[in-house]
Amino acid sequence: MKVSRPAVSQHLQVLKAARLVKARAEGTRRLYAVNPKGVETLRTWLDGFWDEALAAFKEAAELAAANERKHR
Amino acid sequence: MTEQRMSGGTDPNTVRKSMSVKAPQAIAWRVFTEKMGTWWPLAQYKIGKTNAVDAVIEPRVGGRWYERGEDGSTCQWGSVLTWEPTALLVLSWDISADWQYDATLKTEIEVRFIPEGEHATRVELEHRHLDRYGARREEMRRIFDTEGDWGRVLEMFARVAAA
Repeated sequence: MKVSRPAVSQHLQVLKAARLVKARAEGTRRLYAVNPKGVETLRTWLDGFWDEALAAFKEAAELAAANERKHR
Repeated sequence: MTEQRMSGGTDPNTVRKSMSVKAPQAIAWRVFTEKMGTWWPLAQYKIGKTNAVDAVIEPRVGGRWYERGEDGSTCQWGSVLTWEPTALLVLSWDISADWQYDATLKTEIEVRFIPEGEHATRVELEHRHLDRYGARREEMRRIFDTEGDWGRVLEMFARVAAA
């Protein structure tokens, strides 16, 4: 992969936050392993995804309703 | 914001969302189905290689659900399983663990539009059958173990993180 070391480290932090990987310390190194609870991880991710998507939908629907009222 | 429904505890294979929208049922339905491209976070959640400019649901049972790229290309996400305007929509979501379209996956998204008087609608969304990813858990692990595909996964999550 053509990605710099700090970038990989940053990506791994993201994956860890999303619980896709687990980290453990070994001396000065941090070792990352794939979290085997794939479905649980996926569910957590989808849960956050739908929060974001539906918040945007709500905003768009309410704007459309407000515009319709204005033009009536 | 959306809130999670508390009844029924936590089903590990289902994600449920419920919220009240200050829009009549017909408008809520129309914005969800006809104007998805105006609210779907396309910058982050798309699978094509080019920038996505629209998200489209073909308005009939069996219709395709897809993203359209700025170059005119389309990438399918799923299809329409139930089409009952302006109350009930069921879509299949066939995006696999490696973020590719896979017609055999068939997780389901049910969206109910329930009128709350004249000016508001309760929108209930259920994304279910997530266990269908379970059969692919081994495949998912292989993907994660293969360096080439890591790049794609990392790129996906970087986009989420940057949002």
